[in-house]
Amino acid sequence: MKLQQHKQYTTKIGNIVECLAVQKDGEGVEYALCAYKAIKAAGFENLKNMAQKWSMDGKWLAFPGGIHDIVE
Amino acid sequence: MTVLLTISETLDGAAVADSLAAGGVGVDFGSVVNNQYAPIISKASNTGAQNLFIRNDAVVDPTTDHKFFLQTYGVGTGYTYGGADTAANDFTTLKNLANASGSSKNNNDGLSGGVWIDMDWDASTTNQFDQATFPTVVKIFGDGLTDGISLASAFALQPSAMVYDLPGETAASAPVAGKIGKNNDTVLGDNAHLKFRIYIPNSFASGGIIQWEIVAAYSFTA
Repeated sequence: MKLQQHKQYTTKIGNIVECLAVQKDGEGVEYALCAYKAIKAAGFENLKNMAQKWSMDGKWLAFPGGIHDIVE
Repeated sequence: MTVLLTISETLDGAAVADSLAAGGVGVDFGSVVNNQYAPIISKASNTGAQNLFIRNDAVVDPTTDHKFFLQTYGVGTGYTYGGADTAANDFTTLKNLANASGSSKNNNDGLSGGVWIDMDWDASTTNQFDQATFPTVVKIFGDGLTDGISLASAFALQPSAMVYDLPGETAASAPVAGKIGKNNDTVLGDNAHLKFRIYIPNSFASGGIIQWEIVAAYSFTA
């Protein structure tokens, strides 16, 4: 799986995100900037519509832990 | 009973068996050019690595004290050197590359050099081999001309490398540094999933085959 701009994906706990843009970090490696579009798990409401960083293979970069990882 | 290790390129797969120059058997990293690393898929995506899995055939206890270090080709295996220089000079070359290396995960600045190991099996493509951010799990053999080049300076196996086959590669539930569980151990994990790369900086002028050994040291009972 490689994340693509303007596509929607599902995280491991069922939240829906949409990738807004593909950007590059300081070493030229691509990552995806995505926003939560639909929150299906309690406790994540404050993340809605906030841009978050995912690696291009769907792993959330903010801190370790798989619940935000994208599964499809 | 002696406990032996199997090193494979896939989870629970066959032992590594690449033919090496001058007749040895091991792992061929492929070719690498200046400003890049090998194995490589995409520099811009920071993808490509030599995956190696280590498992044991223990029946009583897990193996312990797992650690890794670089040494001169042929010292442990007895293989005849088949590279472009000498085995001793290759060892020196790799240490010098490591000592002079920067920390760019994808060699973006052309300063990364030497043999690197990433002991986080499921690091994202953005984070893998990010030595500056994850110095505990990403190591460079020969760093400082002192690290990872002898048993005393070997790099300890990190818990973040430990997996088992669910089926499907799955993180161990409570891994411990330096330990590899027996077959089907879901707590410690029964495979250490390690990733390797060799980096060549922009300034490196030599060509041809370079050879080295990575020693996987460990303790066992039965």
